[in-house]
Amino acid sequence: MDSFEKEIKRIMEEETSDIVLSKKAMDNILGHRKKNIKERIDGLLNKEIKIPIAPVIIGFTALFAIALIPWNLSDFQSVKIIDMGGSQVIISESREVGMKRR
Amino acid sequence: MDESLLIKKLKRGKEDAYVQVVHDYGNRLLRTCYLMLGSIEEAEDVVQETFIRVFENIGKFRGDSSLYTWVYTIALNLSRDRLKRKSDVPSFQDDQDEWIGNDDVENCVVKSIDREALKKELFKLHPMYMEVIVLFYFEELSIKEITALLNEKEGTVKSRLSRGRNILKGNLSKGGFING
Repeated sequence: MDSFEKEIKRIMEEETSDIVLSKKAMDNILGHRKKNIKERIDGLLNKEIKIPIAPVIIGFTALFAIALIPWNLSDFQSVKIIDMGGSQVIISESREVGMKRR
Repeated sequence: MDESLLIKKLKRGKEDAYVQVVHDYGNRLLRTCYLMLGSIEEAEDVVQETFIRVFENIGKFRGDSSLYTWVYTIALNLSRDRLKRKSDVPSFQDDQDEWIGNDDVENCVVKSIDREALKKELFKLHPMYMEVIVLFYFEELSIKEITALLNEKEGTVKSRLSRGRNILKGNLSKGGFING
């Protein structure tokens, strides 16, 4: 390397001697690193899940309604049972038709 | 840390391996990119993008070249893309591939150089020449290593290096900043 080439090298070294990666750039780079399995599981477990409260309440109410309300209430009202001694006479407003069995 | 172990750790997502790669190559890469791009902000952007690409694709790295060469190839390509986007920078295509080492300017013995003038001329140099000058003198890479890194012919690299030097010497001679 002659003096000219040495001078080129020296200039480039001097010009860059105080140049270093900023902390922000370093953090940004390391933030993009590939996560290992443990970190991925931790990330999944610590994930925040947002649940909209209104639809959840409506959903639960509907579920309770289906489970608890006696839907055949009207059937009970249309049936009268008269005790006659040892027998019972059932008077129904609606006629139930069952399957004909042979 | 041994490079193969380092690559293995990177593939497994070990934090210490990532920190080591950034510490080992980060500042060096930033300085090289700065010399090529002439802007610290742009150089830092390129370095960040380089590492992000390296981390995203580490699983695909087969070890055909050294990790350092792979990282540098990505950084150089990103720097070249940036330079191409600047409309005032002509193409990197060289019109003369053979080595022109027997030039009069090339052979002149320099006795004294105006350092400030050389610095000015150096940073005015076309990126095509600056690239090889940085890799050869600053990074101290061999012609073979530069050839592999830039994916160019050996003659092209030698030619660019020689012509870059000639341009610098010629411009300094014209301005009377060099005494041969």
